[in-house]
Amino acid sequence: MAWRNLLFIPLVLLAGCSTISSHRSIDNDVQIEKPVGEITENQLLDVWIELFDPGELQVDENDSKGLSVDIREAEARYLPLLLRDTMEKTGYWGAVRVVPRGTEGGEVLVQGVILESDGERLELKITALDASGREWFSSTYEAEVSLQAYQDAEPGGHEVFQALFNAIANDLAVYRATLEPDDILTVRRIAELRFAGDLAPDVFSNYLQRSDKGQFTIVRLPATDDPMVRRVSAIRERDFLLIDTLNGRFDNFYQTMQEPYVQWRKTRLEELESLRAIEREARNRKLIGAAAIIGAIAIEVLGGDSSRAATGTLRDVMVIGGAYAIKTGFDKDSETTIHRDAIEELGESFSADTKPLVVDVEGETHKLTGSAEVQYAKWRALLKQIYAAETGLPGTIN
Amino acid sequence: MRMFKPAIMLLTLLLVCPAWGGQDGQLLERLRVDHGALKAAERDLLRHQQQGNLGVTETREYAAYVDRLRQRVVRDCVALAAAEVVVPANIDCPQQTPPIAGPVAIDQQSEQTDDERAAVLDAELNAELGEFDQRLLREQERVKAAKPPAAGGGSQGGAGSATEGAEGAEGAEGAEGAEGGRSGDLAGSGEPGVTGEPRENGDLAAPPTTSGAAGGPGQQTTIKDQPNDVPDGSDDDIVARQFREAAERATDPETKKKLWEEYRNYKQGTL
Repeated sequence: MAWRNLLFIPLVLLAGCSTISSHRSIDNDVQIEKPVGEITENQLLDVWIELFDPGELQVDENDSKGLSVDIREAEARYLPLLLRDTMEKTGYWGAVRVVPRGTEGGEVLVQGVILESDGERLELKITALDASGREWFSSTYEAEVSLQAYQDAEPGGHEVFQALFNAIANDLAVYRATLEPDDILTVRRIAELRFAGDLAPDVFSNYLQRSDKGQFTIVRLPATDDPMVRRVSAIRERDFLLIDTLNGRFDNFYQTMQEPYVQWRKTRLEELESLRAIEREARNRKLIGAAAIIGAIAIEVLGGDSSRAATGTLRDVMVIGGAYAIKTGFDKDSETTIHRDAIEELGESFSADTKPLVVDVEGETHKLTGSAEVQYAKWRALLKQIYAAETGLPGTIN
Repeated sequence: MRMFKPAIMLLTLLLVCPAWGGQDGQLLERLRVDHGALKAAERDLLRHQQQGNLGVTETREYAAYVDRLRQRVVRDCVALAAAEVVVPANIDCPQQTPPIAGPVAIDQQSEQTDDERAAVLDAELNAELGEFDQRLLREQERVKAAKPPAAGGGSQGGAGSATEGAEGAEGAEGAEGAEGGRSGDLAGSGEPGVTGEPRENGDLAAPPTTSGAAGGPGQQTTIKDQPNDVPDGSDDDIVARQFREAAERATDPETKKKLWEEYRNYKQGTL
């Protein structure tokens, strides 16, 4: 079994130990880590990434300029797909799927909250846990990009915050590398038993034990030829199929949103840079003016009579010049309104574009999961009746 | 369920008209109607089965309805035969013997063994799974059809003008940057005087409001006395703070007074 661990050598070296920092400030050159060889199928864990929690907007009106809840809702559906695609490329994982929040049954579950996202800064809180209820880590990841990053990125190509998603994927792989093969197997089994327990509690509720802290341990395993296991597995396959179908919807959403989203972030950042430049200039002018006036007063007060007389004109120039500089500083301030309005309008326009997309994908998700719920209820009833027939337990016949 | 409506209405009509029977002509007419409904329902059911757009439950219910229609036709045929009425050639009377006294309530489940019942339920589960697969397949086709065209380039928009604006502003800032350094010299030039004379001006008019330590050996005493009419400075911007700090640091009353005056002017936007 030792050879398997060789696959994870780069990660173990990278991590040093399994502790993952609770706050990560990400450089833009973080590359994705990949195993040195192929991981065997029975050692792969499937990952479910929940749609992110959109979080809350900044209270400060200036900081949240042009941002909106609608945009956040769209990002909460867009960003998990970036993480999914990143993780899929690593080769460390089995199927990586994005699922609606609160979906049960994954082997590894990744949850995210958007703490900040304005095109320039992205801060996410990521929590990862496995089917046994063990929390792998909970960290915040923040990254900042410049306007240049957007200008360098090809349209529809490289994501400017890719390094942040690489860092998350790397951390997940680092934790994964600390698990023994038996741990992997246990997680996979628990995931299956939890799904089975949800579907046929009469049959499978005694196979797992749940601690007060919500951690699951296997009490016993069903026989390999148990027909109920076969039936539940068949349903689970459909569950995966359902989630794959949902991911098709999410992909369509992602592709529709990608270009306007990138464009919005880029243009917003351009406006923001212009705004900051003007604000800096206005502030500098006011500072220069203030300094000139302070200097003039100092010369007047501290100088002797002769120097006061000699510098009279200079002091006048300094005071007048200082006052003028401050006035032009104020004038410059008024130019910022144009950029503030532009940022606001950009946000409103992008909001208006994305809202129908979100409503659409949300509606389709509800429709699909809703009809699946009805179907699952039927399956539950059928499994219950089959179990009753097979075991002859009359009390369980519906 | 739209397709069931006419047939169900017809059946209901037939059921609520018990006085229909009796006369041979009426009996024959009823047979014609029942037979027509039966043939239409049989064709409809067959079509739906071939297209696979009916669920297991719907198929079962529809088949039961067709069966009831067939039994009704058989009953009509038997009644007409008893009355020695010749059935028209275009109506084929089924050879099925009608039940004598309606459906017998037999609990089929109790007639089956557990294994048989499990097998039936298993088959039902498999049928449901198959149906679910079909639904997902159709959904996947819809997803594929809704796939947006591959993202292409050409989204330049008006970003260019914003970029130009930013560059222009930066250029201006660079020019001011040089002056900014000079202004620092200017600001600093006043400080030696301000800090160098505390002892000489120790007899400041206003009782000093000292901040920090009460003046240890060699420590500069900061006098923050301020006129009553100036605000507390909590909303000062960086420029106002410069005036305020200069005024607070000033030890000469005249300088202090003038600096506070400038501070007031700046705050009131009258500079």
